[in-house]
Amino acid sequence: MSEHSLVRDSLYEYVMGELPAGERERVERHIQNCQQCTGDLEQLRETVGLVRRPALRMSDTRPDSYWQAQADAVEGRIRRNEAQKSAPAVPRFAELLDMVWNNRKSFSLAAGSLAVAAVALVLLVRKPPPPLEQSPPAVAGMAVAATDTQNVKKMTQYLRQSKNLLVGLTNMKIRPESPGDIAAEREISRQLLQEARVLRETVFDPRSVELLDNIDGILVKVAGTDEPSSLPDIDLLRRGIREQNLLFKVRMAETALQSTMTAGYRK
Amino acid sequence: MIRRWINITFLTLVVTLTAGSQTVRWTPDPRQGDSIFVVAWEWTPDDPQDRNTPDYRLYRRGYESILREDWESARKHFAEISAKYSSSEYADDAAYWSAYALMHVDSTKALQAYRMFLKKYPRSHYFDDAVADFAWLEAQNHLRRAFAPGAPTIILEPPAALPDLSGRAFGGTAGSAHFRSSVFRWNLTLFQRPQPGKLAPAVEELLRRENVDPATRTRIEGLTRIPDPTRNEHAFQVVKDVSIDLRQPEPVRFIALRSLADFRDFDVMDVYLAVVEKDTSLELRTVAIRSLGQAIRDSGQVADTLIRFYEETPDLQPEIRRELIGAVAAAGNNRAIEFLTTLARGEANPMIRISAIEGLGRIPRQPDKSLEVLIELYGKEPRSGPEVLSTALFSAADIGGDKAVDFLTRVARTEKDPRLRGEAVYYLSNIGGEKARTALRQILLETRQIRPGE
Repeated sequence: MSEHSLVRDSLYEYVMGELPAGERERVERHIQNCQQCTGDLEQLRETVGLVRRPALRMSDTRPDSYWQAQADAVEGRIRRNEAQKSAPAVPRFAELLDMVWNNRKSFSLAAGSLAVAAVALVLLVRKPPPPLEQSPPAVAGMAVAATDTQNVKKMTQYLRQSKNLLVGLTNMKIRPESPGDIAAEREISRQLLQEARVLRETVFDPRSVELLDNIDGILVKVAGTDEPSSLPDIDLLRRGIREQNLLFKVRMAETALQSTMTAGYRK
Repeated sequence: MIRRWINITFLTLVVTLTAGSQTVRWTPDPRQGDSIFVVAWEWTPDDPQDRNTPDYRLYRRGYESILREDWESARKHFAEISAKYSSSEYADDAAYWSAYALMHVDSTKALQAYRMFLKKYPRSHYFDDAVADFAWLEAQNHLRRAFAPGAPTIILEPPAALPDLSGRAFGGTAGSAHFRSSVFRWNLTLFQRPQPGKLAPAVEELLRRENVDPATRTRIEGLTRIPDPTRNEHAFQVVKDVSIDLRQPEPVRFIALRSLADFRDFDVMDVYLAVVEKDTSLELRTVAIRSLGQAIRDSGQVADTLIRFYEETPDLQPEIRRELIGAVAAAGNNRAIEFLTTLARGEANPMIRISAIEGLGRIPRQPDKSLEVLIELYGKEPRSGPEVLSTALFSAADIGGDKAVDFLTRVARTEKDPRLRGEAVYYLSNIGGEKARTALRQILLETRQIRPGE
């Protein structure tokens, strides 16, 4: 395998910071003189950027004095509130939501951990059936909130679209002498990476997070695959899908969420 | 030798006669008795321009519609392939995706389309996918009927009492009993929440009900505005105290618990464990276990700590024990396998035992070792315990790989219980790949559940 090919195959690991020092230097030496690899690297960085969560924290974007003032203000409010025991104007729901969701990544699980989390929890961690003598609960009392339903729908659609892509790639008929056309696959991969970024904010259970990570890994590779793509490119993707048993996991997760939607018929 | 030459000679004729026309390609399988002539047929030089053939372009447009989920457009393109290029090498691809598109439009017709596909293209690469979709559709149809307005309340019946919906399609050997039983369990769990509000994460509850008292709200606001948590020791002490202070309202404890993940330079493990042990909220204890797995980078340390905690804390609720088992599995190290294996073999509480078996399927490292345990368990478990057997199959499938496929194939062929055989077949179809597909095809052909060309 040529130096160019070796470096090209290592670009993803390079971008992700997973290469040992020696190989990293090798890649850096090569890309200084290789326009194609430089272009590929830029594209890959852009794609990976879609996947990674924003690294900036609030404290990175504001000076310490800002945060100190903020903390003082909050402490002051706590003291005033406790002293007065009165009910000042309640912040609007949207403000609270914004505060929890946007200002601190660590709370991103909050409102969204919803049914996706609950469902994934109860679905993927398959709980045994309750005793049969329990009386059936009032169906109307299931009360899955509208936001929950929407998020379940989003997650289900994301899984289905990922499955459409994975099944297509797995079965694609491609021959060594005839490169494949995967422009549409690249496009949908980019879209799905964007969607996964949003979904991460609503998913909390470890298995769903792990599944999103695994799908992301394949999507990044598809989005960064050359067009037209060669048999080795596609084989590489297929190997990744197979080694992670990804189709099985996607299908089972989709099944789990779909069953919740089906339960909605009861409502 | 003579037969081989005859075949090659015949092949030459075939190639000559079919040159320039569309040919049906399929993968030969010597185990199926495919002759050398078929193998040689695969060597037929391809036209490098064949990606520009009208059938390929049409197929691509159809598949692109699938990716966009434009089912009607997809079906039109695939129908055109079927009408104009019935011998195209993309005919089976088009037939599969056409059935798949139909599944989103008319499930009854889709079942017919899949049935046709399985009969017509038993050697298609999509064969396994078609079996998986078919079984899924059958189960979905059943669920729709079960949940339709006015339908009798059957959701509390044990799964085993349900009619065997796979029977009509695959003579009772294929299908998705496990899937159905899981679905029922899942739904039951949703329905039977004694206090719906308690099951949602506390913050969501907080966000839903806007009548949180102002002091609580302000505390939450304060917890969300801690500057630079990585180095703020004072803030860490506050958050830690709030997390384990049962006098604080539950939403505040929740927010504090989640904030802990930001204090990366501090030892948060003990705080999480204190919450798991002492908090009165099942929800918060669950959150603590999960947060612990996410916050501590050393997965071995997480597994060891959780195992020790599990073993040294006798009064934990079963739900918490199961959550801990899940976290140990996710952290996964050698000790985790041993721990889960011990529970899977000898735990008296069936719920916990099943969680341990599920956990074995989820351990990311040393899948072969986990699989060995599952296979051994499956072999030794009395047939009176279908739940354990069923879970062992699911976990093996979750691990995937050639050895899991071999195991599921063996079960699909030799298991006496038709439900378990059906589950094995269903999982094989969902794992997919050449090995699973070949096994699946042979099983369904042997049991005469598909008859090509009928």
